[in-house]
Amino acid sequence: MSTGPSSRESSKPAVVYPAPSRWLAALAFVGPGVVWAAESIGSGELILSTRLGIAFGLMLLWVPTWAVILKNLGPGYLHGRWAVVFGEGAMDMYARIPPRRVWPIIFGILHILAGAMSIGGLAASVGIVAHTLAGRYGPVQAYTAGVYILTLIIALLGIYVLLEVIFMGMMASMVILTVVLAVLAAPPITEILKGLFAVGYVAPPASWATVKAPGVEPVAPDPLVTILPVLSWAAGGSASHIWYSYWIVGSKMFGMARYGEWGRQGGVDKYKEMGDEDWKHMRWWIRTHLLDAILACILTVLIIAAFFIAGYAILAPRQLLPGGVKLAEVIGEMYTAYLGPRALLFVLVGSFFILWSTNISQSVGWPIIIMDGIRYIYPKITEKVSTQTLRRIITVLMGLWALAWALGYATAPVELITWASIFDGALLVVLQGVLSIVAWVYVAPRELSKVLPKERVKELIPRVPIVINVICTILFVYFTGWWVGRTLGLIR
Amino acid sequence: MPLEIPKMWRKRLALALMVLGLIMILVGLPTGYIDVSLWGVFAGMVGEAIILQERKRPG
Repeated sequence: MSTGPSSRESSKPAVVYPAPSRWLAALAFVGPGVVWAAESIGSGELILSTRLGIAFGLMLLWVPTWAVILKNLGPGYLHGRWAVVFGEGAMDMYARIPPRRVWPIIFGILHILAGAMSIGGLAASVGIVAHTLAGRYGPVQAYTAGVYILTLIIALLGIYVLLEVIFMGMMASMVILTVVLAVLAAPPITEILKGLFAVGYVAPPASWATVKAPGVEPVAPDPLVTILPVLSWAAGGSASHIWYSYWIVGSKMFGMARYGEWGRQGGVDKYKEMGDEDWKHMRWWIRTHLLDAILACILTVLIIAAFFIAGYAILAPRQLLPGGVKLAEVIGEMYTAYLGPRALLFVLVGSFFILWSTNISQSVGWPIIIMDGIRYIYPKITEKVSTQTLRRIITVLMGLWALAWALGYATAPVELITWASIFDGALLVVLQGVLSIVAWVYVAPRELSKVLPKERVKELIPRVPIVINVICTILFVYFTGWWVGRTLGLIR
Repeated sequence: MPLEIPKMWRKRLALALMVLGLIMILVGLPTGYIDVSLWGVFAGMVGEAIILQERKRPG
């Protein structure tokens, strides 16, 4: 199927890019959602969700699955939809919310820390897998530093095209393998369904999982310390929602994304030029975007549930938790228990590529969020320094700080990942949820009403995702508030 | 673009990888060499990824 214009030559729109006019044809245009799903398969799925399944059992399957559904179709979808309707990224959306440029600046500053911790946590995990692949020869820190310097070089030079196919191939192979493994090892379907719908159920972890042992990172006795990071990083955290809007703008196809460009706010002027034919195509772009987000949601739910179930069914009876310097060894055990020892090398290489590709995506993506923040602090920066130079400077500075975090937690990556996920996922997703509500309920109608009649404005405002976003935000406020209260000693 | 492979060769490479992958899966499964099958899945998926990447290219 072609990614070019629709074949309906007689009805070409003047303003928007020609859209697919059937659901099946729309499938050929989905892309940002697949990138979203692929990018989010990293530590959240491979490590955090697997650990949750092992330590807490099947009744907590609701945590990763509902986190993905609510985040993808709530704040995630709304961030993408803004790019479709206004042709600008999420940071520009925040800048339209009073008190205006304060929000992108706040996000830019907070993401310096969130980004460095997240990239560092992933880099430490990649280092441990590389160390295991090399037969544990030498100190693990040398592998962490070596692989991360290579990651930085790739991020700086942008030589990602050739590697991308290898990453995609390995990620798809590992996903297929894990889904097959989860099906083979799966408990009865009634138990899975019970866990899926036990929303709000929280239980203490298995006592063996809380015991400290050399080379192992145990789970905390407080279940919230393990649950919140999974809620936070299932399908990615707040950065993933911002990137999703960038990817839609970058597609140059979805609705007003055709006119989107990094570093420039979009607008509503183009709506003045739209005729009936344009509106027909705009509606199909909105449907295509919905399909894109739903596909990302289904893919991520399937993948995260597979890791959770495989961990629960295979590693829990063996009392093994992935973490510490034994991270790769335990993940390998999950697969070799069913496939035999011959599969070990493939699984270690696969785990390495899954974590490494996410680490490279993060190292490329986070500096762009920070650049957006800088753009709002000092708008003339893009005139003084080229975008490429600015991106490289921030990538190096952020990379060096992330490397310091990675080396500090080289033998305990789960601890760093836990903190990073709570910061990037829980705390910032709450802020994103609130801002998305204000953006879509207050800002968008006012902006669109300047050029469009009421009924057209109604068509562009997504009602159901706003409701999902409200539910998601309430859930995150509840769990994050609980966690903050416990951490500060205010709640027992 | 760095490390560019000519278009015609990209398609041939993708097809070759998919055929090789299929052969490896078919050989590995009955003989018990599960790793051969797994690398076969990987080869096939890389072939598929090259084709998908091809579709995303403008023009």
